[in-house]
Amino acid sequence: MNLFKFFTKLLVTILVVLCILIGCKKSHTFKEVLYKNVYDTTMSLPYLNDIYNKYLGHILPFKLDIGLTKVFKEELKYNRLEPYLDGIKLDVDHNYLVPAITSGLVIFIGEKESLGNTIIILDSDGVEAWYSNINPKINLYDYIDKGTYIGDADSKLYLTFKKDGQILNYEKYIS
Amino acid sequence: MKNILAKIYIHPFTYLVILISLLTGLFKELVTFLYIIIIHELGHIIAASLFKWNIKKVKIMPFGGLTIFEDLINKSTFEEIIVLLSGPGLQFINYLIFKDITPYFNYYNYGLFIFNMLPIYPMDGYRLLFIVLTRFIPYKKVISISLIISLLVLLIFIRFDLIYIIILFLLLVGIINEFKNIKYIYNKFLFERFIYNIHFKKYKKIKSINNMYKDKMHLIYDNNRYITEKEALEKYFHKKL
Repeated sequence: MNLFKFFTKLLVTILVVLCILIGCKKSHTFKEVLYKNVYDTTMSLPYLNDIYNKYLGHILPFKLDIGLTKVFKEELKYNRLEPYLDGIKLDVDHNYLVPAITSGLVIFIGEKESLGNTIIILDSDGVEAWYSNINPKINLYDYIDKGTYIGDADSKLYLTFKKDGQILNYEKYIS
Repeated sequence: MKNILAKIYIHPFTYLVILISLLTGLFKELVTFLYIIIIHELGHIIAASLFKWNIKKVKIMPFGGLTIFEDLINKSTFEEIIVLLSGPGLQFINYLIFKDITPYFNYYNYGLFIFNMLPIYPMDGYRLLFIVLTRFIPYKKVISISLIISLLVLLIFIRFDLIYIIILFLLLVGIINEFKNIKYIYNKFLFERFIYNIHFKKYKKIKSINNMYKDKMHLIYDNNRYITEKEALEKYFHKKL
């Protein structure tokens, strides 16, 4: 009986795949629509989180905040600003504690070519904020609030803002 | 202990919560939450297997774990308290070891611990209240009194977060089912005393078979004289059969 069910599922899967393949072969517009909506769409986790929190409240129950986290609500301070690669280069103090400029989910921590150690924070609008040449003090897939301490920078900090792979103007985020 | 994995049951609403957390990127918080629940239940399971209790099911609910036993009601109170406290105990030890590993590890530990200690029907706080009350009040009354306390405490959960509405619903269904089962639970309590030779040190005089206490032997008033518990139970069950 189980074997019968398994083969039914297998055959249905093969049928669906073949139908889609034939569709792609026959019609060019179907292929384009499929590529656009299935392969090129990424689901934004912070966006869904924002929407859920707005209308339905907490996701996991009993998160009891008894005020034990260190409060670090800082604005970004720098001495000099100049364009660098896709973004900007900021001259900051020695061992500067970097605050987050946007709130969102940490989606990448690691080495980026010609930028050094990088943290990428994705916010609910789909904007990626890249903080480079930084010594990270947070973990991957943490939700970060605006103004949270995310890492140390040593006299130079590179910032880049991107959305869907396109570079955004930094002036909206840096005053 | 050997077949414990086969006894784990994950509630459909838990799957829903897992799905939502994955879609909104709360991977680490979800893992922390489930980890704390599993550690808590492990405490109960270890203590229960030391006393050779029969575990029926380990339920993972969206509000915490539940270990359900299929065993005698007339167990020693000492064993019950040990099994009860070992869950929060192990959770507390785990908290001390991994304290401050992430902020939300602390938050979920406090939250789950406090919720678990509330006197609401399937939680540990309820069972603790139950054990305390059975020392002073007849067994049958204890069930309904503690269930009414559960309902009153449940009022603090009226909030408009989806997750709290789900929890309220699940707890309410559980309490209503338990209310319906009071008759059968008490019958099981009497029947255990009838078929097994259960002995306690303390004696108490009571008016009717419905007023029996846990952890006590009874003398029951019947036709102008007191008869022993054994005779009264024999009379009760033979009349029924």
